[in-house]
Amino acid sequence: MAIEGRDPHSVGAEPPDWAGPGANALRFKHRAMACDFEFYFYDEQMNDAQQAAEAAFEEIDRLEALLSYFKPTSNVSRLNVSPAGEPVVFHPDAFDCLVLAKEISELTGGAYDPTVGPLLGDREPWDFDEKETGERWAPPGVGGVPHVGVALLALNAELCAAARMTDGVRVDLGSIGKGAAIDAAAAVLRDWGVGSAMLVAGRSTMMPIGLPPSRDAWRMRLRDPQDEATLIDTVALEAGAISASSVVGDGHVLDPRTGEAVGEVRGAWAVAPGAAESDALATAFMVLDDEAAERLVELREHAGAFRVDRTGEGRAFGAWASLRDDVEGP
Amino acid sequence: MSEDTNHEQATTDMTRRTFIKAAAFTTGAMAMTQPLWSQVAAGKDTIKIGMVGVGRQGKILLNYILQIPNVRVEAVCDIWSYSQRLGGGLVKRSNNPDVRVYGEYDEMLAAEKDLDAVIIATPDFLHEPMTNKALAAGLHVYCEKEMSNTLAAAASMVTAQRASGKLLQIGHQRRSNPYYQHAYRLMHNDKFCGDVTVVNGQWNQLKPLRPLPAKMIQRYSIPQDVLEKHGYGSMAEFYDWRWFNKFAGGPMTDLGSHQVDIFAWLLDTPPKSVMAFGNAHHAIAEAKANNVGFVPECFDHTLAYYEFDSPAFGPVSAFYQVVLTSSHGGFYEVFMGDSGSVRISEIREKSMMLKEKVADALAWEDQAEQVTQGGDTGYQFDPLKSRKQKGQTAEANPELAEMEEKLEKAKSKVHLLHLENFFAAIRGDEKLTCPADVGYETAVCVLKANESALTGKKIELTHDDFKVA
Repeated sequence: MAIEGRDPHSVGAEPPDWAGPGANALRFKHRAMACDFEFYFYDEQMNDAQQAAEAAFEEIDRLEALLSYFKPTSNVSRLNVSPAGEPVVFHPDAFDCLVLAKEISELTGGAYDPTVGPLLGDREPWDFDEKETGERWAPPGVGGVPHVGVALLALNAELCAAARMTDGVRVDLGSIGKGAAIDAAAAVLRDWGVGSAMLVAGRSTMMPIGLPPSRDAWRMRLRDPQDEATLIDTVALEAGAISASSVVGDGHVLDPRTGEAVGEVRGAWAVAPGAAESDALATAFMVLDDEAAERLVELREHAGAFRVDRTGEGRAFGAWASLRDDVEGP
Repeated sequence: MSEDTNHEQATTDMTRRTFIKAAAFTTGAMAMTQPLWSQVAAGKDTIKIGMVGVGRQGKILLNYILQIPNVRVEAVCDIWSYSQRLGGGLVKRSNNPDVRVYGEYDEMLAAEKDLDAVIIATPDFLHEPMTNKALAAGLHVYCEKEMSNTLAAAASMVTAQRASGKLLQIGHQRRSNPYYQHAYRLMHNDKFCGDVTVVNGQWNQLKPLRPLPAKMIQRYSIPQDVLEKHGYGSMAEFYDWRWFNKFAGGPMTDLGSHQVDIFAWLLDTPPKSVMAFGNAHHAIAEAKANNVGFVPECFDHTLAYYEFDSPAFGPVSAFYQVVLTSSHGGFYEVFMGDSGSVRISEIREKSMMLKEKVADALAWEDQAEQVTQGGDTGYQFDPLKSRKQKGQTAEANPELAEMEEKLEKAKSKVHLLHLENFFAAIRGDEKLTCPADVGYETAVCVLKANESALTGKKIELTHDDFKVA
């Protein structure tokens, strides 16, 4: 993913320009979920900003403890080792993520699937869209793969509980974890009165609060994931969240529906009202065909996407067109 | 604000429920096990609780409680609208959309006639009146430590608990931590340390004094009459209550209490004397420089020297420091003996065992994992090690599997095990690990240290000082 101006290794070196020239931000950074979370506050005094950021970072850590695929005591891990049919009580924040994941999975016919784990072998889910080694990998044999599909998960909203309906199914919410953490952090920051800010998770998820001090939108320039010198598109974001998904190097993305690697799309960006949702949509857009992609954005209010195929050709879906910024940013 | 939020919440809930009801499961040819929802549905085994105080600590406890099966939060109480919204909102989104939210504790007790227990996580000075009222109403109580900021009030809680016949768990969560329980066995059963002669411990944590977060406080200000009704002179007193003697006992009770409690527990005796030092000089200067709007009363650091006469080890000298002006070294406790030493911390990476070269070889020594921390090489502190070396596995031994699960919880959810112990005790399945009389002993340890630091005098203590008549 490449959203303009972001380099996780040089935070603090150059101010990002999404808020316009001369917009000074207070910046805070925190490591969680195998990535850097960064907050840029545009209208805060240091004391308020610092305390608000600390409260929001605590919230991110709390979400990680609930959603982690690796921490044995997370809600997700407890579900993954629970006997079939035995309910696991979820924290409501984790349960909402599970519901969203299941919902998007069903809407995409399984193109997005939080139970795809068994197809991935021992790959680490948090690294899935951040794999930096560029090594190519092959999915394990997939003929009639069992244990994949959200139909194998039963959710009970009244009890805030979930159960696996067969042993072996494995849930991994890593694909929406960063977005969920950003959603939770944004809720805390709004509560604390933060009025103008940009929240960033790694290089793949961003969510603004309010508007920049002297602009009517946050101007985001999207770069080719494999060639950051190439400008892909420019959008003006007033609210909601934007997420990106891409292949690294010659890598491929797995289609959970077939278990086969697909490589037509090399980068997808999605916008949605919330960051967990935009994360899920961006992942789904890596494998959906055009027709299914159109249907998906129709079903999700305020959702949109843009993706680029291997040849460099791009296509916009849903609300994306209305976000396009015709004026080149500074 | 709250209406909007409620609306948003209702929409979220509706979306969630509508979606799940609409979702059709396709079972295919695979064998599917239908969920046994009744295992976690409200029933006769469900413990119904009131959550009292949803501030920083209360929120931590509530987040754990919402993940415990067969516990249902029926009511949330806090005088602050921010905490009411946060706590009530969380519970509504979990398993109880009908949770009642109160601003007044007495109103909650009067209206909620079906509770089994309350969880009290309010400032220290409120622990006694709230706990005693709940006990008198026939409720079990989990009360955060410190029991109180005065010994008279703490003693009153012990008396009230005895009179009620109900359970009173004090929030020294290390008492339910299997790593600490293992340390006890290691020192007393295995004599790993030999004769323990010296103990030290510390909790160093930089806690800068900062002005109130203005925007947040403005959005959620508490009316002055409400503040005063509950004993607070201002929003600053309410928000930073830990700095005031009338509400709290400073870092020695906020932090030190957890660890001095471990001293007495693992030495099997309360101390026979305490001499302590401390002051608030840095905090006062910092508060003035940062214009925080109040003068800190409680110390910003306390150093305490305790003498113990341990029935297991004989005379033991113990030094403890709690420092809010530096984070150096973090927090841990070290028990030193002539055969070895044990360093324990809730931060697992800080825990290890060091064997003295002159000590006999240990039976499991060749199977223990060596670790190096800060230049010291010792053994990993692993409660399962001695059992595993006997050839047992978690797969073959349910007790070991349960221990493994507890150890995992202890690594990251330090309060969860203590809450689970409380709920298990209510069901009659376990004994409380930190009942009122134990909590009282620790209150004596730390409040007497504060008294010594204030008067500059060494205080001699007898066993009677730790008992409530």
